[in-house]
Amino acid sequence: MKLVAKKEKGNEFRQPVLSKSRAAHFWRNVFRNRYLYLLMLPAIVHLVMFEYSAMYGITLAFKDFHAKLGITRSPWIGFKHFEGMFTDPYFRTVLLNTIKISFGRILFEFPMGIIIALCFNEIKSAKLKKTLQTAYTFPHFLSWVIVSGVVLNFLNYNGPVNTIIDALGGERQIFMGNKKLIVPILYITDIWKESGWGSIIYIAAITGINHELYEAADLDGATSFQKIWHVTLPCIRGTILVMLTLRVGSVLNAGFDQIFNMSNSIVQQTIDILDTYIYRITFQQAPDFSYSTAVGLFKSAIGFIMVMIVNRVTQKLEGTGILD
Amino acid sequence: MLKKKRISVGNIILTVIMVLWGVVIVYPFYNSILVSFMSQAEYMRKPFAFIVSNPTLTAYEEIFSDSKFLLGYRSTLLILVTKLPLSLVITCAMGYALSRKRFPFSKAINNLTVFTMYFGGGTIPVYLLIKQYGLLDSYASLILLGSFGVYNMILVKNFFYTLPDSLEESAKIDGANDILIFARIYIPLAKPIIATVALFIAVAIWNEWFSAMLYISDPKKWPLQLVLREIIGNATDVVKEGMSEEEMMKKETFALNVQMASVVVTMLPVMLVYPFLQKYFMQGLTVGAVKG
Repeated sequence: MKLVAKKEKGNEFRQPVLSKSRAAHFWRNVFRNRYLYLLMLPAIVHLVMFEYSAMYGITLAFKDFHAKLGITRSPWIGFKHFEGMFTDPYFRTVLLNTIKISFGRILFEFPMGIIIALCFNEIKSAKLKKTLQTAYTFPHFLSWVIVSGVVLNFLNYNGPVNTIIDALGGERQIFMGNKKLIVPILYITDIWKESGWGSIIYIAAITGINHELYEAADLDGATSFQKIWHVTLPCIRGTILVMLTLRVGSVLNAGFDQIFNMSNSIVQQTIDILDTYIYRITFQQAPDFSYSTAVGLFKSAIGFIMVMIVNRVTQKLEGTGILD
Repeated sequence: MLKKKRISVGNIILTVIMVLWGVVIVYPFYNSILVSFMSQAEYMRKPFAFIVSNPTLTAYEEIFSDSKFLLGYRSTLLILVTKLPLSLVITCAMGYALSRKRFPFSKAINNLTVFTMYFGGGTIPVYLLIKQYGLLDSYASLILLGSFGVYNMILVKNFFYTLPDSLEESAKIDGANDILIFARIYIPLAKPIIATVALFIAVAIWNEWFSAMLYISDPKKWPLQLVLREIIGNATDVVKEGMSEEEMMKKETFALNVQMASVVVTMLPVMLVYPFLQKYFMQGLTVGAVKG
């Protein structure tokens, strides 16, 4: 900062009164805001230390990493890891699983938040609303470690769900070890945990709708369902679109926390996704840091491209992108 | 009022469905609590219960028979009391600075910050960094990593945007500098959003297990969630290919009360606190759309 101050003075000295150079003006402005820079310093240090330094580590994806040599001195090998990745049939399985599970979530889980918000809006008692909202939203604040434990108990062979199935004359299931049932279980438990919290944003949007629209619909003799279809849904269309595009943008995030905590050796192949695969090849099998980094880079690059596309799409649809 | 007519049969059915959905959400948690107080024998008789006829504390005695959970609590609380204030200061200071009128580099810094939300180095480069900084197996790795959250910063920034500029201008005329203005004028006004962000950060710290799993190999330093994960995780992976159905069933149910006692011990603080602080959690979502 002192340097800046000196420079500024120097410039003033050389060019007295008349037209201060633009550079001098610029540095004067920097100096004037020195305390703001100081406020930003901790965050910037954090970003440099943990985010941008890590981005340098991405070069590993194009290197043959040797722990002794470190990142910088390990030899370059070009795109070899990426070639290996695309010729590995298991990588294809994992990529396909990721996309399948992710699209399943968009299809089955995404609409639930909207449906809950719409139903919630029809409840008349404010007190009941508040109680229900507490119940709906609190599982969001528990980790998947906890929730998977709760699910494990509830779907246990001798647990409540199987007791009901048994009482109704059905056959008890080993839910967590069933390749056919595990994916629906992922969807249902995620809806159960997250859709209440997901509905809040729509409830807020619905609260913002002009009441006169509903009164006008009442005068026209509209039923509740017609009002939802012709007033509520069109009014929250923007919110739905933004949420949907955001969700599509993170299509390669198929839910690591949930899957990692609910997986076991029987269903592992069925629900193995990119993130669980990366974790496993890095920390459990014979580790190959460069290859793992390449897989990770593939994932974040696609993710980033998706976000950019989605931003463009919302710009077109809504006039303003999610990133502006 | 005309309104009365609107409470139709359809509406009653809908309300009942919504209440049932609420029960479906809450009951499994309640059941876990019940199971934690059940004996093995009672569980086998009727797992689908609403009360425990012979409550026992054996499961809790067992999980507190060694210091695993106490150490877990200690680690998590230690991280909470250090990381929460640190994180709040970093996040709010950055949010405030970026909410001020355009100044040199503000746009660039803002973009470079938001960029990290959408693109990152990934697990391995971060792991190698932590190793290089010598933070492996120390609390410092968990405290420092993620002590600045872009999402929370944007919440704070958007809130500061909504406050009038005249506050800053008049303080500037009185000769106060930006840090003073931030601390004395803007922070007190931002209490609601700070409460929300503090809760988000606190919950994230409480629920943290992944970083700890990567960076902390000494079980004595494991945070609560990782201690729990080991107990539950061993159980999730008991079903193995080639086991007979009976074997699977037995293994799955074995020591379930101990597992549920562990779940209860870990989730209880969040469950107790949530209903009272719910308002602040919701604020975060409604205070303004999250935009870079």
